[in-house]
Amino acid sequence: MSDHPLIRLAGVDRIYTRGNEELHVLNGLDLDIQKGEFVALMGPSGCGKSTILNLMGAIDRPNAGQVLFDGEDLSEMNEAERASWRARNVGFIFQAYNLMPVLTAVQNVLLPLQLTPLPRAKRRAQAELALQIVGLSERMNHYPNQLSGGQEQRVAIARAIATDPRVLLADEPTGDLDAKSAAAILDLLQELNRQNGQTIVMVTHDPKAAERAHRVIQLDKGRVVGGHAA
Amino acid sequence: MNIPWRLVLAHTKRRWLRSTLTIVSVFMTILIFGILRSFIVGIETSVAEASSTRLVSASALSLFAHLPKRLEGEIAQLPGVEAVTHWTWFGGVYIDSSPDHLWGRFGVDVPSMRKVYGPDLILDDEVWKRFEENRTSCIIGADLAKDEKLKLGDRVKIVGNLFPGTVDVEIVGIYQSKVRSFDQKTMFMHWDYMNELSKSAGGRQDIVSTFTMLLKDPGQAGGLAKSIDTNYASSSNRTLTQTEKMFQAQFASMWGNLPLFFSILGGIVIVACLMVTANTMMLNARERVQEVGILKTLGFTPGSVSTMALVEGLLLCLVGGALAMAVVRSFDGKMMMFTILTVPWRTIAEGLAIAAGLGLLSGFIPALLTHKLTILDAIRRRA
Amino acid sequence: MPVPLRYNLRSLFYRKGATFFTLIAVALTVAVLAILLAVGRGFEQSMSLSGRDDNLMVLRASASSEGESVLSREDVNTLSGLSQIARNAAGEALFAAELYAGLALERTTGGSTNVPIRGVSARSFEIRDQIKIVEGQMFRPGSREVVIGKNLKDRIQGCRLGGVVKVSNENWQVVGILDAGDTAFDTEIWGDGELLVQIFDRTFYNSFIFRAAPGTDPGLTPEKSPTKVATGLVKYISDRLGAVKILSEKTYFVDQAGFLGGTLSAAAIFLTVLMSFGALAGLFNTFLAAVSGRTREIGALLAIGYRPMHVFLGFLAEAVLLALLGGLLGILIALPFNGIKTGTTNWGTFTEQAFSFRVDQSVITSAIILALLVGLIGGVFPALRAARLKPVDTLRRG
Ligand SMILES: Nc1ncnc2c1ncn2[C@@H]1O[C@H](COP(=O)(O)OP(=O)(O)OP(=O)(O)O)[C@@H](O)[C@H]1O
Ligand SMILES: [Mg+2]
Repeated sequence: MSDHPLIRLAGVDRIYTRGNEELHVLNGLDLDIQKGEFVALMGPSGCGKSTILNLMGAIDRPNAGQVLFDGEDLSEMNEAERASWRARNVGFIFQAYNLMPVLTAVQNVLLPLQLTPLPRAKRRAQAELALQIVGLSERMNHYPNQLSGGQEQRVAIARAIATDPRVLLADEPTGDLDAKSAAAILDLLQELNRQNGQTIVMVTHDPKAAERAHRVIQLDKGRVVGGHAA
Repeated sequence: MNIPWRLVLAHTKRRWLRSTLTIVSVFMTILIFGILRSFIVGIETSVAEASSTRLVSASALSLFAHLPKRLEGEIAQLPGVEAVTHWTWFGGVYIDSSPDHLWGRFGVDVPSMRKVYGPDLILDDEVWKRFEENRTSCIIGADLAKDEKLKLGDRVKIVGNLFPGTVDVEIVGIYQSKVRSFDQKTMFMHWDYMNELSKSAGGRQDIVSTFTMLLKDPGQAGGLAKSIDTNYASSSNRTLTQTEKMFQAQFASMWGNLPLFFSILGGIVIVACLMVTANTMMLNARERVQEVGILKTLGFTPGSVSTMALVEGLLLCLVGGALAMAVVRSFDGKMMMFTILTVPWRTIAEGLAIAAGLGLLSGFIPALLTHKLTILDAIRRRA
Repeated sequence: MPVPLRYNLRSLFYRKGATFFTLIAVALTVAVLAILLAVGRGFEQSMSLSGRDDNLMVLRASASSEGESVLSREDVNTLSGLSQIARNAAGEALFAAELYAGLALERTTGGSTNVPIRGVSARSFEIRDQIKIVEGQMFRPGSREVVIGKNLKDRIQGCRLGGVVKVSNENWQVVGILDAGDTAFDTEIWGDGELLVQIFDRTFYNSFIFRAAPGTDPGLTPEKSPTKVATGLVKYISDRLGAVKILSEKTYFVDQAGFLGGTLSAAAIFLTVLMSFGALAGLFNTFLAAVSGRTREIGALLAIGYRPMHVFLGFLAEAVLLALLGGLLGILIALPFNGIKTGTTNWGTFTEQAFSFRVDQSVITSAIILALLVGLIGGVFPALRAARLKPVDTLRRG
């Protein structure tokens, strides 16, 4: 194990400009995520949680400061490099599932695998394995609109873990789900973390969800205002 | 480059109505292009394949004027002339004077016709002989046989007008031609017979429309043409002698700027189609903003995501274009407005290139927008 | 009926890209139709206005045009004695025996064509009283001079006042330009008939034309086929000269228009049908996308209390409006073509036919009808789909 954290945000500024108005969302934010950790980000709406996740996943760049992933500065890469970096290292899970409605469950899961150098048959096996892990082997050939919300989110998780990423970034993964489905999704994430040592950063409004994490980071107005082990 | 092909296909299938309509629009457009083009190429080919080793003499006065038959002997004497034959436009009315029955019928001299034009035609020696021996026989082109439903042994009756009298001849042969300059929609009969007929009905006699000379040395064409024309320059039978190629070119040019006019319309049709295909691609792109965001999040590069948009447009247009060109190709050799539609591979390549161009152009703006679209904007915008 | 028109109008401007593309597609389609029709109209007009009803032409029965008809001098003598020929104030019979042929001349834009040359006689001008000399003067009878139709001017080499056209091996002076009101005569060269008959080395004329005395019945001219039985004047003449046909000058020119006119209108129909499909597809795609994109909005309208019929009419109106705007734009694109002169060979007569593009009321009406049809057909299906949406479905769709 290396001595530095898996993800480090150091002095990160994120400023949105709308017209001539500047919105300082993040202001010199420092944050570390260790390998194998399951971290929950909490805070009021608009405080910058999603922004932080986007920075960690290299789909956004900071205005100042550094985002280091395993010691590597993400903001120094160009768009194409960031894209292939994402393909190798990150799995995203969104509140709205964000599946391709025109593709079946297994085709959705195959999508990120296409970006790996794996041979065809191996990709297929990997996708089926991922669906098996999330408990949807039976529903492989269903289209998203033939699945329930909870099932859709599980396909999204399967898609996120299929490439065996180094971190899972989940933005309110249970936000659109009923209590029972939400619990099932959280069980799944917890299991991934416990059994495979999967690093997970999860944004949530739900204290029950946050309880599953090792650590909860409380944010307000772009600052860490508190944190505790769960 | 990693392109999610399955997604491209799935989209095309999902929006099948839109995809089909777009394909059919491109099909119609390339069909229009193909037909107009094969018409124009047909006109050009009839000139290009015409012989430049044969000379044609006609009255310099007008297409309506004739030359006396007796010039044949004088021309045959000229040095460099291997053989001379003559054609005479009979005109007349077959069945009725509607455009359907408006095809060429000529009085010719069979032995010399065979010498001069034989190599251009597919016709058995035996048939030539039968044609030569039977004064009231004729040969017709394969297309004419098909269009007028005529077969060997049928009799053709034509009521004369330029030359009085009704010709009544038996079909002894059906020819096919080896060159596009010689159309397959013409009838040839004995000049002697029609001349005789006209003479006995008190009509004009001993005149012909054109003389065609086969040359010993094609290099002498220019000099010979000039010497024939100067020979008759001050007579009442002023001649205009040209290579067969130029003679054909004169017919081609009679269209005036009609071909140009149709080309311009064809251009407008293509632009109109571009509007339709571009619209399709824009609509697609608008609906897929979020998907583009997801793909980029998953790690697909901006390049491959944009290529997807281009490929889809290209696919739709090429399918439409290929189908259209397949249909156009089947028109090759058919007659339209006195012209043999001609579809060389070049025309097919042009049609496909236009289809590809339509696809690329209409995919271009969506591809550009897709390229620029940031993940944050894409995810934020819920379609 | 409270159709949510304002809503539909706004949405046209909201979806700018699709609206623009569809508008242009419809406009170009309508423009192509209008331009093609304008050519056809110009050509037909030039032919249908060419002749008078009471000018009768005598041609050989088997001739489909003047150039194919042969009338000997004796025939002409017989014909000139007909009692049905009207007379002018001076008591002279109004008839003319004419020669008609194509003169091989060069277009100024390159390429050769056969310009009709008419050898006329003393009464030819009086019989066609619509023809006026607008520049220069008449040719002098018996001289090597011609007058030319105004549509030949500057389009054919030598065809201008003071120019020279080559007739056989002689140079003939152009001394006048005639205006026949945009009719077929505006593409003709007129010269002395007697002289031209000699030059063309002929012993015959092509046609005999006369102003019919009031009440003249030409009798039944056998239709097209020369084998049918003639009656009346036709029979009277045919019995003496052999089979002839008599038709009014007007009918003759309308018939001559048939061939090229038919070709042009066939081309117009062909191109329009194929092209309209593209415009329809554009409209269809745009509005289907609009309907699925606006599913929630439609749901809201229905929830407020609008009825499916209103939604249907709203969408249909939107499509028709867009198509009509396209149609207007198309007509604007076609308008500059109005009046442009062009010429081609009429393969029925093998002679040059010059005419002007004519974007007239009938062309504009057809163009608008096409736009309307495209709008209606292209709009109905998407509008139906919009009207069939259920409020429940519309709210569930993400
Ligand atoms: N592209 C953008 N342009 C302008 N402002 C933005 C943009 N993205 C985010 N913001 C603003 O930045 C702030 C933080 O946004 P962010 O999405 O990170 O909040 P959040 O903590 O995830 O909120 P929520 O819990 O509601 O999801 C918000 O005020 C938001 O309006
Ligand atoms: Mg958020």
